[in-house]
Amino acid sequence: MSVSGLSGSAAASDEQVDHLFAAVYAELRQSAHRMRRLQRGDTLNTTLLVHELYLRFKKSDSARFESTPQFFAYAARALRSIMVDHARSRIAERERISDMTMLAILDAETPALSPNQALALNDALQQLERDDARAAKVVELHFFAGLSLPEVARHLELTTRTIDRDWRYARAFLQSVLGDSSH
Amino acid sequence: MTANTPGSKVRELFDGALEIDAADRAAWLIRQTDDSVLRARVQALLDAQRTPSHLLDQPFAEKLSGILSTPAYDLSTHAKTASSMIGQRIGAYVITRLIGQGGMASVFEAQRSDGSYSQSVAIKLLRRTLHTELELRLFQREQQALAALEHPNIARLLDGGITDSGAPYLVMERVHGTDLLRFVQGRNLPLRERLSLFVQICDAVNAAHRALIVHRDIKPANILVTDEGVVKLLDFGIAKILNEDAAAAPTTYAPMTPEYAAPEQFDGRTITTATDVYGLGVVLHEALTGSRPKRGDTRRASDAITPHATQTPPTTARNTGELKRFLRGDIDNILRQALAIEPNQRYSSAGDLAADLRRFLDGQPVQAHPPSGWYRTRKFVGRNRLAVALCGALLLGLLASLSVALQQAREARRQTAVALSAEADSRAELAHATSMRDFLEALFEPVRIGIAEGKAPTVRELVLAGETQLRENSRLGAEARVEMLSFFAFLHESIGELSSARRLATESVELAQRTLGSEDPRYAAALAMRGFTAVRMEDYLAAEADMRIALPLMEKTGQRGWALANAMQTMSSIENINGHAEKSLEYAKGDLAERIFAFGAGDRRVGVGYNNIADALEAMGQYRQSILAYESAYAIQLARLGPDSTETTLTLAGLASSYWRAGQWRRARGLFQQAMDRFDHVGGKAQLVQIYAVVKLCMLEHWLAHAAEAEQTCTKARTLTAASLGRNSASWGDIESAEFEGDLELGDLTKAHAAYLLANSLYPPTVANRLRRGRLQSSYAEWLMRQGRWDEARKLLPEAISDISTRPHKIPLLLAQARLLFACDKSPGPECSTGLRGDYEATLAAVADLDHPQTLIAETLIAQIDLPVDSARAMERLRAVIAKVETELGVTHPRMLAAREVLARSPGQAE
Repeated sequence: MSVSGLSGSAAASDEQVDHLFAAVYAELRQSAHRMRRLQRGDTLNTTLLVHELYLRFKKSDSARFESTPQFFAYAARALRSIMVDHARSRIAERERISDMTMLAILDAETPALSPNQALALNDALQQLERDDARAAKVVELHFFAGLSLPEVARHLELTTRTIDRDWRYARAFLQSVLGDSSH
Repeated sequence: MTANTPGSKVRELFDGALEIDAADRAAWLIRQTDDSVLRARVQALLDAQRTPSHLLDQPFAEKLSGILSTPAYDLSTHAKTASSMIGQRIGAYVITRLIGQGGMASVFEAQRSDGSYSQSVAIKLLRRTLHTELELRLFQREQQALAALEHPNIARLLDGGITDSGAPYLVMERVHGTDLLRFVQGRNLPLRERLSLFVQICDAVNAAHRALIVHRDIKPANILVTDEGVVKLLDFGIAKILNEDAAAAPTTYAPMTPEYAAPEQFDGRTITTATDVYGLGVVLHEALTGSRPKRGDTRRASDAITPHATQTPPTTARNTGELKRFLRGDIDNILRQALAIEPNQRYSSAGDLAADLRRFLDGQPVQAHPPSGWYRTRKFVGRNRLAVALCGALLLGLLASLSVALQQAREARRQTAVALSAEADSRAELAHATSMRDFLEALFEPVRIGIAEGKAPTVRELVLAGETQLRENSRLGAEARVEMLSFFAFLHESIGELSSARRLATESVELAQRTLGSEDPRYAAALAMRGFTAVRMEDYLAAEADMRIALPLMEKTGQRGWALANAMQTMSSIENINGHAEKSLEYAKGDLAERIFAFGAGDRRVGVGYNNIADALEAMGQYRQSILAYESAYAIQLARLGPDSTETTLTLAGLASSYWRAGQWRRARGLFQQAMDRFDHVGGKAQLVQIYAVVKLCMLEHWLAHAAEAEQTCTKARTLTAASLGRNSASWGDIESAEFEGDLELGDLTKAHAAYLLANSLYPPTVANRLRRGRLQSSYAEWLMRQGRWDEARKLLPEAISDISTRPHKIPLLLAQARLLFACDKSPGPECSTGLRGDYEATLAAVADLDHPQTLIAETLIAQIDLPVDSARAMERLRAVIAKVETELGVTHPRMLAAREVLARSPGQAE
């Protein structure tokens, strides 16, 4: 997808936000639809997700983003927050259930990313931010927002080589933190 | 982040290290800094860099769906479900209250609406609806299988069904208890009592295995313990029902609970009863020590316990020392075996694990040790009923890992055919054609199954007459004709008319292309059939060319069922020949899945699918597994089709072949002969597998140095081969090869040479022939060396080794390597690298558990090399091999005599 039509003017207007957002929306919908075809459940509700994204977007101060890269950074961060919130609420819900049978039954539906894994990833990412902020940014744009590494390089205005190395380091960092908890 | 912070230094070293060769990194790191903590950190990162990660190596979007399908994001249906269901009826039950909501299901408490069963139950209502009748059937089948599981330690699945709105539900026994870990930790249970509890768990899992159900998601949360201390297992197979689509998307598939999942669940490899054993191992470890074993940690459990463990104190042990002492030795070994990375090396079933734990508790010696493959296989084959059940579990495990989405009903197939055509008259014609085909299929069924000729004498005439009818019938439209031609090709193949099969298939393809076009699904099916007939004639190149077009087209046009099954089977054979064993297995699995789709799991036509998988396993060198698969398929076919059926005998031949490759020659010989008798009894034109079986027996008799039997069998092999495949075929070459090796065994070098020349001329340098050529050259090298022509032998062996290495069969490799070492010992040259001996020893280690008779050939050569250097050790080593293979070869076998002669010749030792 390309939203390069928009310039990097300061303080983008609401109209520009909507425009950009529409593009991101379409993109997210596409990926969600792809997943939906695989899952075939009636419960998949991409609209809600994306609307939520938009709302958070509008509410936040940094709605006045400066350029496209910031939008993506924002979208990535929002996705990350959604992941964390979701994980926390699942864990909270489980804690509420004292009936062990029910807990076991409900546990049988772990999605591809368990709540614990999600929180562990978030923590690991926070550690990475303290260690190497730029590498953490690469993770957000590449892993969460789904930009390819060359696209990330373009957005951050760095060479592909630099970004490749950043990703390589970030991935190793995260894996070394997460690896301990993978069992 | 400045340049001097520790973080950035780590980064700098990390980046720098990756510019260096892997081998030199450690040394480079040491030169860069004295700080060992820093080095350790960098090293940890370097290790992590190499480790694959299911989380990080896939984009987050793949995980989105799981997150999106939770109540937080599904506000609309959430509220509806909660309140509206109370008081509603589901099946024979009335919902009394909502217990919980999950992402994919809601759980309610309910009671029987007629008041007959006073206890309340739990009903799990899935959110998704089943869209088609086919999904319905699948769900029902699964649910019936689970409901049949009755065991005091397994939470009963009482009922299941589909609501009017199409949502599946499961009714389960309510269990009141705590999960295993909380139970043992909360009560501070002594270690021995934990083991006793665990034995209960293993027995329960084993009961499920006997019913051919693999749990796949064993973890403490699924194991409840009531206040009275009774174990209740939950959720058998439920994970599978819920996640049918997870299996359909292999790239996103992750095990249900990664912390307890076996390695093969991450790779999408076969799930078997051993997968459950792994899960049980993790749970046992945690129940005893309070923490799960670290993956990749090769230490013993007792060593891995440190006083600084951050987990809650696990036991009543006063200190970790007491726990260590309890674990050391037997429990260490039991855990190690349960947690082996390779499924082959674990306990094969939960029952075996339970048995070893019982032995420990009784003070008996445990059996946990690096497993000998034959120990287990011999055990299985002896106890028939258990063998069949376990083999069935293995096969079910194979099934479980397939992406079988739908069970086929005849109506659905017709519907698909109908959907393909647009106009009414074509629809009618198709319906007509399909029903005609159904009729013919049913008519020819006995042929396919191959009941002995006396029972179905007119089958051949039927096929030929049918073809005549087809040609004379001008009312059939192009589409129907294409299908019928293809089908007749198939039938001709069944009765052994290979070239007319191919002819008909070609006709079908050409007609389809002319009248239907190259995008039409029937064109694809016709191509696939032609590929199938080509494979049967061993023309793999032509077959592959057809399949490379047919398969993508079939996928594109969404074809399922019988046609796709044959296509998969054909690709499996092709990949086998190409040496792509893993791909061959994948296609074999696909074939089985489609057969089940087309015919239903209980149908006899599914049997061949099991065989194909076993074939693929054998081609991968996994003899233990292929033997199990064959044994199981054989038992099923014997029961369903009887001993006279061709299908049953084909399986028997496959089983014989696996035993043969695995080195159990006497057994293989008996089975080959049995198979041959059966083939003769059924009569008719020889099938390909039959020919292969006779050729293999001919080879085996030569290797066993049974001159008279070899002559008889090989003559028969020649007759059959000449009639079907011809005197120029690779199979004829195999017979000549066998003669060559037989003559070599008996020392007749002149006669051997003639056979060699003929064999060599029949093995053109194609991909399919590489292994054959390599083996032949390796034997030729021996022929040369017997005449002292060391240099010539030495020069041709490296290429032979590389040819042999294209397949995973280790024994031929072992022989070639030994021969090269021997030649090098006698006359060194540029082909003699220093790593050669190491390679040989590695190959030897890889086949150590087979006790293959041909190891004697190799080891005899090695002994001759080693004797001058360290005669005591060399002799001991050779004696050990002699002892191992004595039963198979017999004391008068030429190789045995040669080996003993080597021993006798050694300095100062009388034998």
